[in-house]
Amino acid sequence: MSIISVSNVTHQYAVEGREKTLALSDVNLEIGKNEFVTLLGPSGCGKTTLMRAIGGLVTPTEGTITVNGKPVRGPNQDCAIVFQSFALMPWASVLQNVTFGLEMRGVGKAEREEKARAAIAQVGLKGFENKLPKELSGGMQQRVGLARALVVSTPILLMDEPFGALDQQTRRYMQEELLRIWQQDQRTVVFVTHDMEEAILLADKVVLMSARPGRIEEVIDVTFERPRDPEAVERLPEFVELKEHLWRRLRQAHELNAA
Amino acid sequence: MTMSALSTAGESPAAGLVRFVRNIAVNWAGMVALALIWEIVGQLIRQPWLPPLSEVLVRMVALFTTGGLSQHLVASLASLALGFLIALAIGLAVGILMGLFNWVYTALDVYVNAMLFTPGLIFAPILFAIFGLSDATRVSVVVIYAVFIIIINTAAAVRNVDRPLIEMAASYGASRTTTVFRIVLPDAFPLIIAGLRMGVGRAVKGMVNGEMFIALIGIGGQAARYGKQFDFTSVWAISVFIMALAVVINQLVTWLEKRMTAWVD
Repeated sequence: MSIISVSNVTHQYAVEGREKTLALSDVNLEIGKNEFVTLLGPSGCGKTTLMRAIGGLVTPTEGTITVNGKPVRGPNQDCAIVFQSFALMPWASVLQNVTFGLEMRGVGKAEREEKARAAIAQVGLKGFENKLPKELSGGMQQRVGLARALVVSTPILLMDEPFGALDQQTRRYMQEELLRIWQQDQRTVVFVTHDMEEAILLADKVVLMSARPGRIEEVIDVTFERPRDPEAVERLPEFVELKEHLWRRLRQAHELNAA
Repeated sequence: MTMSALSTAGESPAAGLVRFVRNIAVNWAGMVALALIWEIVGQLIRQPWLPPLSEVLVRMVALFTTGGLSQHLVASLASLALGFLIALAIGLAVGILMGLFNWVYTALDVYVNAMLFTPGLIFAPILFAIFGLSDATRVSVVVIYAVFIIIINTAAAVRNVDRPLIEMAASYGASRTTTVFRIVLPDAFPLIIAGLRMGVGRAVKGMVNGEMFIALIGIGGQAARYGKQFDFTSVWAISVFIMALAVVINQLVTWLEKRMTAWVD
């Protein structure tokens, strides 16, 4: 029984005065409960659009998406989103940023602060509760974004290239942290990325997409044992093989498009 | 005239102190040089239109002590404050509406910009006809001078609000009203405040202009009166005072701005 079900979804962007862009073309996807799914593809392949459609930020022009059996009509209480640009309120403290989602859901002040403090500790930011976002590094800012999404305890976590804006080292550290947190606190994750290694490392299932129009090329199960140690996983011959396979598929799709 | 903080991030207190003192020194050096040049040129050429600075300063003291300028100043500042508050209320309300609703923006944008470039004094006869020789005339000139720049800045600030933040709020279920109060307005705040600073400057201008050309009251009215009598020393004295007032107000608003927007990256 899948928790997210995408059927026959097509989405066209209409920008005034320009030709319509077909961002998604007849996409079908089933995601099971507590599955970690990465959407992988080149920029412009519609992976972010697909994630946003699941989160209700975009209404697809055709097709239906159901979450927990209910059709998605706008932002809903089953999904929390971690944004690529962090989307932190710069005037608000770490604590105030993390409590925002709870506040919008009507949770009382004492309760939401208690929960937020726990989430802040969970992402390793204990002691930074009263700092402003500008006082934190990029990696720490995204930890705040992650804590804000975790604290609302939704069954689904949507992550839009969350580590894309971070440097290589910080990104690796964040991947490890995410794996650790997900291991303790399992939920369904839809993670958008254009980084092949990241896609394999994190996922139970890699959804490979291609551009123009955005289509699903292939869905690959990743069966490495959990909990995963990124360093060890990357040395496995299966990992290298999988990466090469993805690379070939991406290049094929690219050449097909270029031709 | 410096109000900068003692030290910026990553600077040792000693280096901060040195920089602070140096800034003051440079600021005052410029002023002292200008004052000296004025004094020397004034003493040398001995023209009625450029009395030496020392005479101007002596006259300024005289005007305040025996010339009754203090009462005029109090009346002027009261009108300035009232006019600016009215401009602030109207400017914020209209600017926010223009920023939030595209149709309000489309409907008003052309006229607001047109009014920004129109000298407020054009309306002097009309205001005079409506309010007569009263404080209301002066206040309304201040409003006309200050309100449009506040509207334009506020509208631009609200329209340029950070898109990802709006999406973030929507994704956590914030209603439109909540989003306006919790996201849009705080995010627009630094730009709005910058607009207010410009509005204050224009309000001072409006106050003096209004007094000089319409009402002949207050500090500007006094300046106009001395001008008609070719009393250049008094005109200079009032001008220097208004400039000093402008500097003080500007520093005050800048300081407030810095304090209230310390969170800006």
